[in-house]
Amino acid sequence: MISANLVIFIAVGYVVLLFALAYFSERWAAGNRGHFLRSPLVYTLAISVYCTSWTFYGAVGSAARSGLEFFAIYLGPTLVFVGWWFGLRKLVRIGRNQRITSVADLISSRFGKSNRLAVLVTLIAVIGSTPYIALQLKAITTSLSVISSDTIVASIGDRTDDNRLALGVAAGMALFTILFGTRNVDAKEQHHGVVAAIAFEAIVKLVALMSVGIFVVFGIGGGFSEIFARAESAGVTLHENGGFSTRWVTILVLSAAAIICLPRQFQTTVVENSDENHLRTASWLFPLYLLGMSVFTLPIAIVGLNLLPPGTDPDMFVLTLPLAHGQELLALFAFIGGFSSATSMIIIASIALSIMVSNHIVMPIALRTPWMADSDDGQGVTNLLLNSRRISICAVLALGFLYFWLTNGSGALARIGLISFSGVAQFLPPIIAALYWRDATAKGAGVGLFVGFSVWAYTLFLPSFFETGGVIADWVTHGPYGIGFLRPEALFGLEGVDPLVHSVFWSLLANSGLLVLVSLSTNQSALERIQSTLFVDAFRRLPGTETRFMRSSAAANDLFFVAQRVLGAEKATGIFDDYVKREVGSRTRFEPTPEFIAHLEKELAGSIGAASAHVMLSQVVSGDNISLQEVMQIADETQQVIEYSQQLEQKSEELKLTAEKLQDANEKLRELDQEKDEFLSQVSHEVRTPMTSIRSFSEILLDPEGVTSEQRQRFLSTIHTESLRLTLLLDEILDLSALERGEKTWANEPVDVTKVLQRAALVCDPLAKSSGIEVRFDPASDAPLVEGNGDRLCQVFINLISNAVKYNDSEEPYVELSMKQVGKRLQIEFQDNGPGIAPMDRKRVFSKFSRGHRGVSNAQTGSGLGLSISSQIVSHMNGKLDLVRGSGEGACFRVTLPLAQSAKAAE
Amino acid sequence: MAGRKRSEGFAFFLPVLGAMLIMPPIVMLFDVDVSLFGIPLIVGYLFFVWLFLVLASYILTQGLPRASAEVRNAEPKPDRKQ
Repeated sequence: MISANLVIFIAVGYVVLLFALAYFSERWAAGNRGHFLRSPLVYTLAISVYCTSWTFYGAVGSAARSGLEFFAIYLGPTLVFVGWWFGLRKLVRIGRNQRITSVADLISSRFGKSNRLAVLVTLIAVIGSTPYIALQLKAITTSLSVISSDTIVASIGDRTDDNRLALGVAAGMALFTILFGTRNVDAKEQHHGVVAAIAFEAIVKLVALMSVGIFVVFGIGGGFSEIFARAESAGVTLHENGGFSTRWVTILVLSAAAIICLPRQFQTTVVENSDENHLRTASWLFPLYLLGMSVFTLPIAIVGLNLLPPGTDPDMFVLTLPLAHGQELLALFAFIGGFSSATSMIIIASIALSIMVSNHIVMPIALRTPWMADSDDGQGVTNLLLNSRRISICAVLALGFLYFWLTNGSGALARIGLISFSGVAQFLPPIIAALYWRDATAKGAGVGLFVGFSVWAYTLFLPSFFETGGVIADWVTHGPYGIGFLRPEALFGLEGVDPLVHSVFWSLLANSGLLVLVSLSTNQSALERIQSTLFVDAFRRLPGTETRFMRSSAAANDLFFVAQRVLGAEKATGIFDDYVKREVGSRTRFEPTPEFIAHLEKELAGSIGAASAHVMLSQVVSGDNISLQEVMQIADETQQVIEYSQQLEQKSEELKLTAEKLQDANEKLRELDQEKDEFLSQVSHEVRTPMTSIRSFSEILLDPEGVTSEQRQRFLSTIHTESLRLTLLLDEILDLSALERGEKTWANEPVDVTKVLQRAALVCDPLAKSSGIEVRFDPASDAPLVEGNGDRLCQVFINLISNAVKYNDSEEPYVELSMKQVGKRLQIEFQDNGPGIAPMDRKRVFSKFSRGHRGVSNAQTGSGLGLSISSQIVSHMNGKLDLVRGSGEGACFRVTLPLAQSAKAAE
Repeated sequence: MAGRKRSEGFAFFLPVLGAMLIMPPIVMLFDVDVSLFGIPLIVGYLFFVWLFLVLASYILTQGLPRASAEVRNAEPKPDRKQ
């Protein structure tokens, strides 16, 4: 056994160490050496204030009593941190942008800076946290009496805890918290000294618990498998004991909610956050810390149940196991670990609660009290704030002590913890609505919170006083005034459910249900609407751009006076000077803009909370808020502008497309124009040649004397031939232009190609004979009919055959006509063995007035329009005229024509 | 950007997956009288899921963008536009 005085002496020494640590950390943070204090590691360790003495001692007790349930307490927060990107990140971002000082401030600020909501949340937080603080005091006194008593066996109630000791601890913690938690009214409510001390305590408790764990598992237990083999005989059933029922799910939900809603967690995670990126580390390091804290929980419980005499309090196994094996030093270290976890919770919880109480309860009252509001002293409000915080800390700890004193000697630690969790879990619906639901209203949040909290108080908090007997015991057993239907633990006849599950179900159902119902049936005020946009769209806008809806004006002097009263003269001057320097340039022309007023309000909110800051400023600011209609109108106008600009964008896109099309068309027109010019000059040229010869022959004939009758005959025939050529040319031009305009002077009808070919060959026969060319044609009798016009097709064929005849200069000239059916089309080919067509000419043979350059052996050249006209005709028959690579070396033209409908049908 | 989108998808999926793994009915599958290397299956399973979440979160965080310096450090300033 260790003497109680020695233990107390060591505990006091430990607290002195904390004081020193906090003191030097504050000094480092004030200088520039505090980088380490603002590291993600310290941030994560501070968050682990989640692990209180309830974890340190109670988890083992819980494992001994109900197996795996303690896992759920840690897995819930693990899930929340693993999902940080969608939840905590937004919360932290909003906390930073809006200078949120507490969970009450968050909810109040989101719902139109409502002070009534802030008061409600503060009261719930205080009522929910007081038992928890009492629990820590109890853990400290119990552990002290265990470590200093000579027997480790003591049943619950046997051991009366030392009230004086609890009072001493509470007073010491109050002193520490006042010293380091209320040194100044910081604009961001960050306490580097306190955080450093908490981080240190987090390491102490982890190392202490793990040391005990290692000693138990490897020192006396004989390894993990050995211990788990003995689980059965110890009475711990780990499987199939119904552990994963609704209670498991409920505790998961509760612990996930608690890691956000507990005032101390909100303080360390959101308010004390100095860099959003620290969450990146915390997202995996904090779950890892929790894992480390619970690795040895089960083995300690099993070994404790196995080795220690029955009747030993399972909650104290962490201490009694080392003690029973004579490891007094280890037990002392474990005691310090438990002491760490208890003190860290007390410190942070009382800071968080005192900020809430002073900002949301004391300040609003002081602001409404004339003698406080009128005090001319510049430091008045600052001092009031600090003093009210100091008093709040004392009051919170006093309440905790009172609770401890009144309930001394009853109840297990774990039960109080879960009652507290489900109390603060009532904040979860309004917080989620604050972050993600634009239309949630203050009335909805207020009604939901109030009713949810009342249900919690009735179904869980009240029955926790069952052991005190009297009216409460009667109510719990028989219902109020004997109405069984309203029994607190079987509300509306819902029986056979675990009391915790029962209470959480009814309270959260009422809370969120009313939040939704009332929100949907009430309207938001203008301020609520503005704040809801700022919260829900926290990631969409940069800080500082949110003030455009505010239209307010105030005298600079009044503003300065208010700022000075809250922040102190030095800080207020700093803010004003900074603004003047940046925006205005000279002090004389300084006019407070709405932006500046909003900025100032935020600075004030960082000290006294959003609601109080709003009240203070609205006393000196005139016309501060614009009406809802105006906000809506502005929003509508903005919407219209956005739509209009989108339309403009679309229009300009269309215009761009049109311009491109126009450019294309222009290009095409230019080409056509050039083509037309070329055409005209060629036509003139073509017409001119015969005209010249006609004219000159006519001139000769006009002089009758020098011409013999034989000559006259010849000249006249030449004139005749030339005029025929001219007429032919003009006919062809007319024909071509008609075809190009799309005129079609014939109707397509089924045509027998063989007959047409024979006709064409017959027409060309004289020409072929005179040139000595053989026309090879093997008429097929079964050739299908095609769609077209016989006469026009004949014209095309004649043109092709005569071209082949005219340009052929080989030794044994021939033209070979062939046809074959390809799918639903008929191909007719004209292959000659002439010189062929030069590659450079292949493209332009079908254009007007172009003639093959090679192989022009005689003067019998055509107009150069033949192929052009043929091509047009064939295309009017839905066919195609191409120059293809034939079998021989000469040119090969192919006419492709669609089969006639009847022919197709015949197949 | 595609990488970021994917990381965000996983960031949403991971806690959902974690919740499914530790809630009934999946957790019931492991709630049987079987021991792995002397450790009850259910205990091993819960610690395994826990460790998996820690590791996955660590890896995932590397793929998610850091908050920009402007958002982190700058004290919110009044709107400069007039």
